[in-house]
Amino acid sequence: MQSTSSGMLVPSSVGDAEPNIIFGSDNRVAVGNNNTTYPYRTIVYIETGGGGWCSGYLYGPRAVTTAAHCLYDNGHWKAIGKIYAGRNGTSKPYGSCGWELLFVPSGWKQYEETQWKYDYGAIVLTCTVGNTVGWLGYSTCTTGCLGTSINLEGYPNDKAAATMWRSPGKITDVSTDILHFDADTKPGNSGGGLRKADNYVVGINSHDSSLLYFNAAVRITTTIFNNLKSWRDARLVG
Amino acid sequence: MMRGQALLTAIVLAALVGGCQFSDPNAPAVHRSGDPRGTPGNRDGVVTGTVTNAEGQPIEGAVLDFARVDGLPMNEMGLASLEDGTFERDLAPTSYKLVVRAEGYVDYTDEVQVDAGVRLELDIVLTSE
Repeated sequence: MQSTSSGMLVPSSVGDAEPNIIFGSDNRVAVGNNNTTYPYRTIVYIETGGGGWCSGYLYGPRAVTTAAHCLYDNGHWKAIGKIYAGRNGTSKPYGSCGWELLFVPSGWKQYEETQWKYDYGAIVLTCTVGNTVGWLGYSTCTTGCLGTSINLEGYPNDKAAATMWRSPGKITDVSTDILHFDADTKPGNSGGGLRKADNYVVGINSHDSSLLYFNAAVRITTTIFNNLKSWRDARLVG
Repeated sequence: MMRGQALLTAIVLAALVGGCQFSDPNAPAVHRSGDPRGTPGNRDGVVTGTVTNAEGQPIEGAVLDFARVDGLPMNEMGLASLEDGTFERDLAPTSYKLVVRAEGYVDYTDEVQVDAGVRLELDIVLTSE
């Protein structure tokens, strides 16, 4: 792996890259039986309808953060099904939750994947599983977080069904709205949080490019922080 | 005269500002449980279909991995066939390399073209290893 002057990661040799993206050797670690320990039990598996799924994490007693494209895509809301905290394969130690509310920024509805910076959202659950398993913090991230070590937990599609994996890595580029990172990801990792060692999330996994050779997350800016905070405490009325 | 011009300028500016209601792209869009989801738009295509074995029986849990041929940015949502072998996903219009994997079966690979506003039906048959 090499880093350009702009911080963009490029393959160090032919064959180093594969789609959605494993950087060099595969560094992912199975969470296994640790799915009932903190912070892994705060990670959620989200059924998005039609056989789709995403990752996410609890950030309040009944609040989940994930990517907007997991909730709204192609001009309509996804058929969100059950949400499982701490799921690892067939192990569902905290059962499942339904949902009351889905939130995305209106910019995502307008622009979708032409404006990745709006690819963040939240789910308000019907249960308070967070009071049982806890939740992750979230914080803004500025240029000072360049090089910060992170872990990204989620449910990659090349592993046994619905098993939780941890991908360690670093933040490799910081721009106004997007973070690039070198933790390994695959489809199914959408919506996972870039979790620092202090268990604060600074980015939400969004997309990748095998051509441009990056994995990318939406950076939690002050605006996004405030949105997540207000959505966390929302309830269905009437 | 000067006061009249200033007043006119203020009125024109107020009208311009009032007429241009810039919406905040970070303002929330909310969907309540039980509300209609809406129907797919024309920005993307919809890829749907079934995964079955050679006997025509549905295969549950076959992973469908779509990767853009052009390698441009793509989201990282997962997709696998349901109990009845069906699947459905919205995809941006372009060409994809599709790999379908299921335990005990030979990987299926194909290249598929997704067009905006078009529903593409794929009936995928996996052969046993």
